[in-house]
Amino acid sequence: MKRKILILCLLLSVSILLAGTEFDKIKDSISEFTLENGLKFILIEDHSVPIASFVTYANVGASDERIGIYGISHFLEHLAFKGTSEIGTKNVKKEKIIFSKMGKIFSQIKAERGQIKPDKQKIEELFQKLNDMKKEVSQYVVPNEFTTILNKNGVVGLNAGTGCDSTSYYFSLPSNKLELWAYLESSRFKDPVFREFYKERQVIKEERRTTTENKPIGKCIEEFQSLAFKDQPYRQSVIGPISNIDNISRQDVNDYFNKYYVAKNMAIGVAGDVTVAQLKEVAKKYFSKIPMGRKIGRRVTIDPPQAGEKRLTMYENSQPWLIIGYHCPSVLNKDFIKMQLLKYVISDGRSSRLQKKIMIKNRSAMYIGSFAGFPGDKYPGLYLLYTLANRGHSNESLEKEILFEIDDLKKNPISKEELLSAKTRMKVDLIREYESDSSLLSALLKFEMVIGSWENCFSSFSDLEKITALELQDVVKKYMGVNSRVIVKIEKKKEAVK
Amino acid sequence: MKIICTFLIIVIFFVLPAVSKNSVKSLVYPEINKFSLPEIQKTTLDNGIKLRVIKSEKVPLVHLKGFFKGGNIYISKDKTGLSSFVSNLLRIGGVDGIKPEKLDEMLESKGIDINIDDKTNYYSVTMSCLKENLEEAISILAKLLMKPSFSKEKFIETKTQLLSTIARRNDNPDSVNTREIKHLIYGKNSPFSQQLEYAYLQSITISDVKANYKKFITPDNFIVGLSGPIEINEVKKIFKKAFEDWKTKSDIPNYPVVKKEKNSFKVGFTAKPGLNQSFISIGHLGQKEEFEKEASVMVFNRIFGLGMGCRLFNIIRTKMGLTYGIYGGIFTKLLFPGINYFVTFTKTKSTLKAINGILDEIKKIRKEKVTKQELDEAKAYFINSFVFKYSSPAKILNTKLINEFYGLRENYSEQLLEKIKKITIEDVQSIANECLEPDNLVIYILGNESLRKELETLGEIKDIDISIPAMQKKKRKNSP
Repeated sequence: MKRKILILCLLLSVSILLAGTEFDKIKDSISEFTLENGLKFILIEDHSVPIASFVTYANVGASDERIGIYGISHFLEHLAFKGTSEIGTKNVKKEKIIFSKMGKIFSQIKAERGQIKPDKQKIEELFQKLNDMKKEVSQYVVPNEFTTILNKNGVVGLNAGTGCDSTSYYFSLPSNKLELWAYLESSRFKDPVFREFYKERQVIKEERRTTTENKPIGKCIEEFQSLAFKDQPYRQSVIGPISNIDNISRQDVNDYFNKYYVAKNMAIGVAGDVTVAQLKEVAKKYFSKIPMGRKIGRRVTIDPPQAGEKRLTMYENSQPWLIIGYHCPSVLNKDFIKMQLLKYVISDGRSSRLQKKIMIKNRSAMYIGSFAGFPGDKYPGLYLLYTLANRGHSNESLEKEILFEIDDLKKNPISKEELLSAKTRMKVDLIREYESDSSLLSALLKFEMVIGSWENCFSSFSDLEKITALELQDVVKKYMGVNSRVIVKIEKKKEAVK
Repeated sequence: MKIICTFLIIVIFFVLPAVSKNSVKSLVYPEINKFSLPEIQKTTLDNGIKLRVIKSEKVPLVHLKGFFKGGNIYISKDKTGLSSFVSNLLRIGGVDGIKPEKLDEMLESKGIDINIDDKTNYYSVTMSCLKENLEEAISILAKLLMKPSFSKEKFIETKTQLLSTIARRNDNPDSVNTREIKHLIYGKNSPFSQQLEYAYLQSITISDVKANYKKFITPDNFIVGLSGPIEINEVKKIFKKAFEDWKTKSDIPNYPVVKKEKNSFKVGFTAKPGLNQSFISIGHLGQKEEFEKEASVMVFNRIFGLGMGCRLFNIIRTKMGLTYGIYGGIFTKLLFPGINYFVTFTKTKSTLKAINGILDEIKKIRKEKVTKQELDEAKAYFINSFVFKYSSPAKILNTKLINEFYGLRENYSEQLLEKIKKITIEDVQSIANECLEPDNLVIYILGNESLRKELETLGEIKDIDISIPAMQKKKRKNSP
């Protein structure tokens, strides 16, 4: 079972609107309420099958991190499966006593590491002590009990994902287990115990190795982000560098959790065979004690306009990859929806500009894709184009072909037919996405937490209808200039695989 | 007053334990709500197309899924890739009288999505469109299937793409790992582990594509299901109109036989520069799916190698902290033997530890009985999650289509669940002993060269060459 790091997925595409009349029935089935502590619940009722899907949206992600603890949002997400004072333990009191001792030793390790000339012998001895305590504490642990309880109750799709903008926890259960969900989900956010901390650190490091260090494209994406952004939140990868993963302490995670996992900074979505009365009852009973806290404000640091084009070439044991990014506005900007529509003109479908040109006519690429909002869209991000050259074709020639097409979009507005086709495909794609309860829940929760109200999800459809060809031409001119461009390439290393 | 207080204390004393027992174990769940399954309506057209329809009112979309027997399994090794040409050209190759580009525009301007794909033992067709465009979508799909023009230009486009996939096949260590274990177990000549090569693609012609199309893409070999706000009569009418002239007959050969290949070595190793992790798989040839045994297999897999909370996850990931991902089990197939295998990845330094950890667990589960708790939890998972088989009309339809495609008994899944309920600890141990053969396991590692010495402790190593055979230059016609 993999916990996905959303940001590493190049195909990341968050839809931001839902169409009008097609969704009247759905809109009627949605309700909301807020507990006294400020925790908001959104419910989509669907009584056709006795099942229910649950999503907990935490308004915290890699963009909330700071130097030294990069990767902590994702670290915390892993630890959120480790249980509570009740679940996952044979004796939580004894566990906590040992945790405290382990914390002190780890502080000493960190302090020694921070010296100009760290005493390696001392560090090794401290690690030995830590390992002894790990063994001691493990006798009180019931591994994966949180997951096991859900498994035996028929859980489906148990997972979580950390992105730059948010962290989501999700699963589905037969709907008669509503109270089990409420019990477990509230427990892990009221009374979590971040046990098996040091083992999980190793697991996360393995995750980093496999998704970032041993995959050329993973490595490339990390470099791409740090090149594209100077000071603003999206500069760091979600998983963080090994040096940070190694230095994050249980106390760091506790502090981070206490700050961000509070009622006002979270929202919960439920979809399925559940009534408002049923949900209210379990919500009040189990979630009321989550501390109110405060909703975390938006980060204020935004990069100034890029002063010139940025480029990076990596040489890897890999066929070529070409990634082109243009700085684009956040989801709060009225131009964002235009950038989303642009995807259908530029690269989505065989009749799109670039598929027609580089995949069909010139046969220079085997794949081209693009989307707005990389690596997130809560803050200004990038419009990302990524392409794979066909055998015998180079990144260089592909780049020329792509830039030529972008220039053409600046010079000439697209035709009426192209515009209509793009709008239709975007609309139908949204309906397809909506079909899945969990996708719809995620969209509603995101709208609630990032844009201010889940209802905007539906009202912004009219904005799509109003977009004109001239407006699309304007956004290409405005955002897709040379100075706004970041180009990263993977070129093949000469040494071949044995 | 005192008396009252004492009474209260006594009451509280008795009540408190009950309150403090408010633990997850004390939760009581209501009965699951009853629900009615949407009916699957069936009909067969005169030309043999089996049509299945299920009603779903949720959104104004219609989804179609269809299968033709066919695919890679029926193709000789030297023509590997032919089925990909067939499926891709059916979709993009144009039809008599309409140019490919025009077709793309017709589909995309209406938001109609059609895909045709090839798998080991079938071709699949998927389509989705707005209800209002259903007739037009089916009419275009019918033209694609009935009157493909297999244009030369699109043949070259497909070939270019396939040649490029060969060039990229070693870029991702995960996929190299799962590919190579199949080669080691089935053997490189087996139809179940064929891989594209430049030479094979160069030998494929449009005539080959047409011949394969003629054999497999026929109405009597087509089972198709639709879900959406639709009725069977309406769909039947649309299908009749679109497909009535299609009268060709299929010519499907038997499935090839799988021979058990015995490797003379225990360890296959590919050294790749720059890796700081080893990508590991361990396995051997498995079994065909048998109804009588499948329930035991499913329970075994759940306990041992599939899902968060299985033994391999608990031990190799959670307890030992050696990996982020691990899975494996007994993977039966309906038409031919599957492979039983286990996959993980770990930092170079802990390669042997991870391999030995998996091997030890395999030995242990054969030798020692699983606990009652493990058995009960696995069975409870299948019983409680069973309702998700009906989570949407499209899912119900898809299950039924697959059951029908493979000729499985009616209500196969429901009958399997009844079997699962009766599985015992002994059944699990017996299936572990029957299906897992520690002496026949082959271990594949893609990792750093520095590992070689350590790996020798596992047995004889064979270097597995994954380099891509170069493309032969075409001979000039006029050359001497």
